[in-house]
Amino acid sequence: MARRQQINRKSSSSFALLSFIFSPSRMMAVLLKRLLFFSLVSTLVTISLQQEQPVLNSAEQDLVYRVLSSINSAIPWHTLFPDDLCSYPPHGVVCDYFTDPTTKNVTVHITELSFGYVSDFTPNPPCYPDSTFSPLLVTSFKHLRKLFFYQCFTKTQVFIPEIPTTFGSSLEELVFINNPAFVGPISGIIRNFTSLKRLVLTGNGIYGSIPDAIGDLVNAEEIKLSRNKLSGNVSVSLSKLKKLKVLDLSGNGFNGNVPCTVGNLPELLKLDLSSNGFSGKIPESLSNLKALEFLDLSYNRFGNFGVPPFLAEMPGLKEVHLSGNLLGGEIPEIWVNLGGIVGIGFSNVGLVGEIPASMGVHLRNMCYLSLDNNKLQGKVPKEFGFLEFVNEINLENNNLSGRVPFSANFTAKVGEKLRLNGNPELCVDEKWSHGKNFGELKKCCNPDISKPVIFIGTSHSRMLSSSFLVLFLFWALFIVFV
Amino acid sequence: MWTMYYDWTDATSSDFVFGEGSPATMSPSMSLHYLNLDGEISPAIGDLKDLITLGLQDGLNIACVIRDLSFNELYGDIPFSISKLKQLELLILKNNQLVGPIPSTLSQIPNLKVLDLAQNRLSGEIPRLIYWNEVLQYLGLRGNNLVGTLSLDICQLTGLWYFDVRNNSLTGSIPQNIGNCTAFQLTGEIPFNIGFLQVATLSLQGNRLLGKIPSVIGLMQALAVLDLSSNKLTGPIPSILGNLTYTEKLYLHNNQLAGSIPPKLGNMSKLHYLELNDNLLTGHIPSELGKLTELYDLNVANNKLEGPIPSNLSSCTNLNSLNVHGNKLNGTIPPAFERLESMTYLNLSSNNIKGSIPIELSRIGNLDTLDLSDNEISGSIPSLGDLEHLLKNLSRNRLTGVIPEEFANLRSVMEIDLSYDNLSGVIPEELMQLQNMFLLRLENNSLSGDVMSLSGCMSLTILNVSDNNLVGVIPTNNNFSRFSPDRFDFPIRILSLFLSEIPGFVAIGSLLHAMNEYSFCSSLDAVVISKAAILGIALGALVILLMILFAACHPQNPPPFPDGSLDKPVTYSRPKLVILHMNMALHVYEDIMRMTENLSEKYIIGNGASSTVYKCVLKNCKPVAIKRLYSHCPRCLKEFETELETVGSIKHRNLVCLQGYSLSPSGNLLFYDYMENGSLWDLLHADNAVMETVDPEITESCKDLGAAKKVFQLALLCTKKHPSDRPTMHEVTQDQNIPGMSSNEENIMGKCV
Repeated sequence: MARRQQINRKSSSSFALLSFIFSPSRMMAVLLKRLLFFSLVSTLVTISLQQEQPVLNSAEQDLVYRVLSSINSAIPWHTLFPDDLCSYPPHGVVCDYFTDPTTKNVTVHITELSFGYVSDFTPNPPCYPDSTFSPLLVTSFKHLRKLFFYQCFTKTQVFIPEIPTTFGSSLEELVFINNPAFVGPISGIIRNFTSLKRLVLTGNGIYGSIPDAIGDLVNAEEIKLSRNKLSGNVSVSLSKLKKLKVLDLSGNGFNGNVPCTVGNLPELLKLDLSSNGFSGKIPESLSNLKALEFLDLSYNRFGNFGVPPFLAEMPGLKEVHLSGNLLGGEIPEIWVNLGGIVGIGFSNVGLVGEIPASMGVHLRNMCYLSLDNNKLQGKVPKEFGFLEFVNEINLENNNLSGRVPFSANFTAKVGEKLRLNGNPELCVDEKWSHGKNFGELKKCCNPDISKPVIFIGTSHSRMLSSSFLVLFLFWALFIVFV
Repeated sequence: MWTMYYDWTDATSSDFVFGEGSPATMSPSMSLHYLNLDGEISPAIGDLKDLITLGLQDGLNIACVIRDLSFNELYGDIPFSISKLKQLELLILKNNQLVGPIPSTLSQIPNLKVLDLAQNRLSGEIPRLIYWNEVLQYLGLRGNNLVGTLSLDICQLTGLWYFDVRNNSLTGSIPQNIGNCTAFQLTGEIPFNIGFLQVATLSLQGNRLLGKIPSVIGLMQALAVLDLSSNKLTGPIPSILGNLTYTEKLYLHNNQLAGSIPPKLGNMSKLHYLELNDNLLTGHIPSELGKLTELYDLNVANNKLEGPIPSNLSSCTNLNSLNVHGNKLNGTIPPAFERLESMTYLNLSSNNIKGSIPIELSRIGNLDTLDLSDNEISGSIPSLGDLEHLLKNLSRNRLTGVIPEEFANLRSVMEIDLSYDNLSGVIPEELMQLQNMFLLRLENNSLSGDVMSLSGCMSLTILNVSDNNLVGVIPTNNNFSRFSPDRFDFPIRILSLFLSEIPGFVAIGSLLHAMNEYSFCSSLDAVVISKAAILGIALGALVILLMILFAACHPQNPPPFPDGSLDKPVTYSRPKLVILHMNMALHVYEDIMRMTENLSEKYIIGNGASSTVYKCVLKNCKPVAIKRLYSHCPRCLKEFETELETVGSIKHRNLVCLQGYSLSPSGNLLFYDYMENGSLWDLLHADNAVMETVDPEITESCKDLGAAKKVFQLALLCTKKHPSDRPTMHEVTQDQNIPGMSSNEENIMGKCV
């Protein structure tokens, strides 16, 4: 028994060597040296098997070899991993035990297959430029819970194979990240995955419109289809996914209206529809998303219906991004219950009218406010100057006027990220106008009489304290020397 | 990977803006750490997206974009526009002055693998959405002002291997279902693939977590480190933790845990550190802990434990430090402790231990601290003559007899405390040989004779011999002239201080300490110090205190972040030895230099192109290999250090463990496991030596030794510095004519080594 393990250990370490060759990294040199050193003088205590275990049957073992070869034919998988693949697997291959309820027989099966090197800590089998997607993956592993491809199909185009309807009854995670050469219609992927919790297809070459069958993924908690070539309308059957927490369709070519049934996802935390071609009105039903924290609808073609007032009914919101839609209208007075908001991105949405002072009053946690490239008029609300956490205010390219009402302390704190250029009627106090971010702003003609109180108070107290310190020091030293 | 380093040190602007003034050929990988940059992170950072996209369109295979801005003086918030960087993989902003909340928009970076925001001033809650990431490997948020509870959404981080939220203000209990997280847990009953699991660390230290330790943690078989210390956890220690047979460090100290120590902890066969101190634990110390043969540090101090110290703790032969201070333990000191040869620290103080001090303790050759004070130990003091470096405290016991002359053999001893015992006889003359001793306390005994023998102890700075039956004249020569200007009559009641070397007003701690001692003295009417001096000292201390207060409270100068960790920049005043492995604990740089006689030639075991390797035997009798690198590149220092910390945290059974490192004037030192079998070069040159060394049995099963040898040669080639010198995968697998793998062996070796 001991000898078998030793042989196996060496084979696994030489696999690690091979995999590192594909994985350039800053740590590689150090790691390699250590690896090499060790592989030569490995005198480790062997891990003793605690009990007799069932092993993977040879047919399934053989399937794994074939799949691994389809991913990377350059590695002699069979030679490197000659033993039971459940006891001595390459990283990314995971098994589990299954007990037959009647016979009490224990068998072992493959449950997770992950491909594509992520990091030295998740060194899945490295993919090769000519990696292919073996159809065996979707026909032969009945107990598969997770299928994961990371940066695997990058050069040679790989078409999505015919996926039988029987596939995926136990599948919980289907993840394809950054496989630009993985192409095919999304309708060819989605099957009756009733156990699926996570569908992540991001940065691939998947096209077509979302099929109604997506409504069958009743256990899905995360659907991320960003950065593909998807198009068409979004299926109304999405609303059947009552457990959904994250829905990310950004960076595709979806168009048409956002179905109002999207509002029927009570647990949704994140809704990201940015960078698509959605049009029409932002559905009012979104106000039913009471758990929503993150809403990004920016860079679409939503129509001239103004900033949706129903945001007022979503008290959990932390970030709202609507930039790059021609919404028009004035900024509504909806901020009373939205104290949790951290970031607002309303740039280039055709806003008119004045900036409501209530934003500065109620949004106490705001860090990021972007209202640039609109047609806003009137004064900059002085209430913004009292926001404790604010770090970035962009009001560029509007028609704001009057004096910038912020204290020197505040402008110093926000610094470069207070952006006010492109407002021809806006003027700035002489004494802090030399900052380059105010370079284009004109100076205010007559000095304002009511200088900000904060400035005076602070400088006064600072002067007081420093003079006190000097006096005290002098006194103390005097006594010591006497 | 492309890594280019821009030299920003010449930049005149205090703010730097990405993408605007920078060259259009901006590297896809940019590291700006430790260049004393200040200013804000510009929102224009988002504009870099185009550059990266451009690079991709040109067909360049850009795998990584590194954004490493650590160790600078950046302030402001994390710019929201950073989420436009869709290729970003590493975002490292640690050790800056960033404020504000962590934006949820970070969840829009799909490739983020490393998010390190440690040691900033970030506030607010940890946004749940950052947990929804399939490739995030590293989440470092320690040392901020984050509040709120840990969301169960943390389970969504299926790729996580490092998670650290130490030193925040998190509240609430640990999520009850955390054990169901695939991120932390290995499913299935039998850990058949445990050998392939990487190190998993669960560290929630230094928060305000409440409630019980969830039993389900006992199912997280992959844990190598479980650190729940310094919280407000209550309830018992679940005995199911005994199932964590691969855990090396279990830190539960400084909580309010009650109940007894589960005997099942004795099953944690890999345990090196077991720290249960400062809790409310009761019952006995289970004798099953004796099964922990790899245990290095056992600390159960400041609990309410009773019963004897189990003598089979002596089976823990690797035990280096044992601390049971502040319990109600009784019984005697087990003589079997002599088997604990690695022990350097033994603290049994403040218990109810009876009996005498077993002579066997003197056989623990490495012991440098022995504290038996505040017990009921009786009998005479055995000669502990062999313990060279001992720092001992035997005070407040019922010891009788005389001070043994053999104490004089304790050449390196620095502190001896024998106060409040019943010792009699004279102070042995041989104590004069203790030239390193700076503290000697003998008060409240029945010693007789005089103190002349101590006049030779040149290092002595604190001496207390009050309440004895000593007679004679206090010597005025040598060191005693420092203590007091006057001569005293008998019986001697002196308490002496050494103030002259306290440098000015800097060492305020020492000064206040001195004042305490002084007030004690003056109540004995023993030492006369002028009132003016007292006033001066007191006022001086007051002034300094106030100055410190002012400095700390001054609004414009926030105090630098106190960070005692490894993260601080190196100062060369005293070379730092960074220890990454328990084997090297308790060593400092000077120890290493002493043991290797300043890296003397006689310790060299090998030479390489870039380094020399030395062998050093540590205090615990175990050897370690020291690799001294030749090259010095000041710019790379910080990177070297950061990288080493990462590498050092990796533990894999097929890797030689990096135990520590030091950036010293004599070169950068790396400390590795010492491997017995000599160098690779030697092995490849001797006939069949490779095979015999690696596995004596392999010759039975492997007929073609030449092939095996070839594999090793190949491995060597793969470590060549320049990528083009390494064989391609095609060449490897086709097994033909790899350049450098010709039959001319000498040639290969010449190129490789």
